[in-house]
Amino acid sequence: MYLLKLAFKNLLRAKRRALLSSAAIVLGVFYLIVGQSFIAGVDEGVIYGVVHGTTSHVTIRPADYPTEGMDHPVDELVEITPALRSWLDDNTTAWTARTMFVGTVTSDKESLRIRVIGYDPDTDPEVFSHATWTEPDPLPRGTDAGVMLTSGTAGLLGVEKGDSIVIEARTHKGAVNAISVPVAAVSRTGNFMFDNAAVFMPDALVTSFLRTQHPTHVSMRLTNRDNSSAVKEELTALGAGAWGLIDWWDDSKDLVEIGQIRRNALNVLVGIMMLMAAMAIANTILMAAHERTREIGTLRAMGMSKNGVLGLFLAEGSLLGLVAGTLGAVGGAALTWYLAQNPIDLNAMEGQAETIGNDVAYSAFIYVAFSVPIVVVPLVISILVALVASIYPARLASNMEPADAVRAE
Amino acid sequence: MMNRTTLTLLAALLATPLVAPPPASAEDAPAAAPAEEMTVQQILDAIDANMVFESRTTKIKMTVEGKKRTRTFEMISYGRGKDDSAMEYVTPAREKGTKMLKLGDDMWMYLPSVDRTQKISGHMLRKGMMGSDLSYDDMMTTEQMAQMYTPTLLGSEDIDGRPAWKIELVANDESVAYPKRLQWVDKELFIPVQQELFALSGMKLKSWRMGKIKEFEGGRQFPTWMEIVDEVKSDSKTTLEFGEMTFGVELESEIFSQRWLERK
Repeated sequence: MYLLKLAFKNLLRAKRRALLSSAAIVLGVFYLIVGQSFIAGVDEGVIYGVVHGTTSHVTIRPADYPTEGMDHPVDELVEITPALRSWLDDNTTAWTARTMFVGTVTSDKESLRIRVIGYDPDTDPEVFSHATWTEPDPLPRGTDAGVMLTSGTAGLLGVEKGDSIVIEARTHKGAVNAISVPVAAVSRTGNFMFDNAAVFMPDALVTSFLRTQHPTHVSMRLTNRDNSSAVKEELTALGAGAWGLIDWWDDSKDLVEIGQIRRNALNVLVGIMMLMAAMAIANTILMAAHERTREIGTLRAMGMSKNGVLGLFLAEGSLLGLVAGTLGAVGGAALTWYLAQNPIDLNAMEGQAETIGNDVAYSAFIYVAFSVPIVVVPLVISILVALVASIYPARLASNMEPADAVRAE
Repeated sequence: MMNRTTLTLLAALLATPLVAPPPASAEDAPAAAPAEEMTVQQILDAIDANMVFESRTTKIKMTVEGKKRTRTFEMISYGRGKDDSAMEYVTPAREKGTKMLKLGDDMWMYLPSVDRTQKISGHMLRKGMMGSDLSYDDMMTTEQMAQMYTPTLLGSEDIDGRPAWKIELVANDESVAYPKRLQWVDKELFIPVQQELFALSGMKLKSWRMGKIKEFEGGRQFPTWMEIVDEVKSDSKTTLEFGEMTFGVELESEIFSQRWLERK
C-alpha cells in the first residue's frame, strides 16, 4: 500500500507528462469498446433482420428456391400436409405461412416492381416481431380490407392510407392477374428488405389473387435458435427432398462474417495504438527513473530493497495504465450505453437505404451491443500493457547502486 | 444492363406473333371465301396466313414514351418459322450489341457489358423479363396459341373507317398469360388491327393498335406499325416501326446458334 501511495504521488509530480503518455491508452480503450460494441450491434442487427423479417429460426421453401435478388416464383408451393402441421405444432413455439411474390404496383403517379408478402394476420406477429413497425397490428385481413404498404414504398408511389393501388402479378399457374386494392395501412417495418419496396397482403387476398392453395414459405420459431441445424435435418427427412430449408444462420452468416473481418481490422488498429501507448509509458517511466536517480539512491540508502524500487516503478506504470484505461473505459461505456438505449436509425441517414438496397433483410436500427466483458477486457489489457511496458525502466532503476545513485548529478 | 422499360418493349417485340394465334401450318390458309360468310376459325386461319412466316428479317425502331422521358431503340430482327428468332440492338450506344436468341423452348440473352450469355429457363420463364410485363414464357407459346384460346365472333365494328370483325379469345386454362383478349380483325386484309388484353380479374391491361399495313411477296399483308398502350400505368406508350422487312429470305444458319450471340 505504501508503494502504491508513493507511486501515485510520483505520477502527480509530472501530471502533464503522465497525461500525454496515457492519451494513447485512453483513446485505444475507448475505440476498442465503442468499435467492438458497434460491430457486435451490427451483427445483431443482421440477425434481428433475418429472424424477425424473413426467415425466423427456420423456413421451409420449395426445393431449388432462388436465393439471390428479388426473385420469388410462385409456381412451386409448400403444401402443409397433416404430417407437417402436426410436426410444426409439436416442435415449434410458433409457426406461420407466408407467400412471397413479385408484382408491379401502380398508383396514379408511379409504377414499381416490388415484393409482395402474403401473411396470416393471426400467426405472422407470433413468428416475426412487429415491435419495430410504426403502425403495428392489427394488420388488414380478409379479401376486402386492402393491403399494408411500407412507408418507403408509399412514398415512392406517392400514396397514403385510403388511396388505391393496382397490383399486377402472375398467378400460380402463370396467368396475368391485376386487382385494384385500397391502402389500409402505411407502416415502417424497420427492415431494409421491406421498407422501400414491399406490400403486405392478407393471405385470403393472396389466395384469390394468385389462385394458390398453399404458401411459398413456412417459417417457425424454436425454443432455442441454436437448434436450427438439427431441426433442418429433421425436416429434410420429413419433406423427403421436396423442400428447400433455410435457417437464420444461412441467411445471416455472410454479413456476420464480414463483421468478423471488421472486428479483426479493429483489433489490429487498437493493437498498434496499444504498442504506441506501451512505448510512451516505457519512455515516461524511463525518464522518471533517470530524473529520480538521486532519490532512488536515497531510498536505497534508507533501506529500500531492489525489489522495493522495482515494485515502485511497476506500480507507477500500472497506475498509469489503470487511470488511463479507466478514463477510456468510462467514456467508451457511456457512449455505448447511450447508443444501446438510442439506436442509430439508418433510414434517417441519407443515402444509407440506397446503399444497403432491398435484397438484405437488415434491421434499419443499429442497437449498439453494451456488455460488461466488452468494457472490462480492454481495461485489463490497458493495465497489462502498462505493466509490461514498465518492466524495463523499473529493472533499470532497481539495479542502480545506492552510492552511485546518491552521487549522481 | 438494360433497364425495365427496354426489356418490356423487347419482350413485346419478340412476342409480336402472339397477336395472331397460328394455325397447324401456314399452308392451311383459307380458300377465298366471302368475308361475311367466314367462320371465326377461318378468320383466324386467314390471319395466320399473313402473320406466320418461314423466315423474315426486319429493322425495328422502337419508341418508348414514359411519364418522364421518351427513348428510342433500333434493332435488327431475324425470324425463322414459328419457333426461332434472334434480335440485336443497334442503338442506343448503351444497348448496342445486346442480343437475344430463341430456339424452340430455349432462350438466351447476351449482354456485352458483362460479356456473358445467360440462359433463360425454369421459373424464370414465367418471370417478367428483367421486371417487364411480358414473360419469357410469352415468347415461347406461339405454336400453342390455337389450342390455348376458344374464339367467339362477337360481331362487326368499324375501326378507323374500315370494317372489322370483333373476336373474343378466352383462354382454355389458367396457364395462358392473358386469360382474355379482344381482337378487331380487318375484314379485307385479315390483320388484327386492334387488340385488348385482359387480366384474370377482367381488368384491361394493354391495348394494341396495328397499322401501316403493306403488301409483301406472295400477297402477304403485314403491319409495319404497332402501338402498345399500358392501360394500368398512365402515360405509358410504346411504338414499333418496322422497316426493310423481307420475307422468305435465306438466313445464315449461324444466326440461330449460341455462337452468334457472342460474335462481335
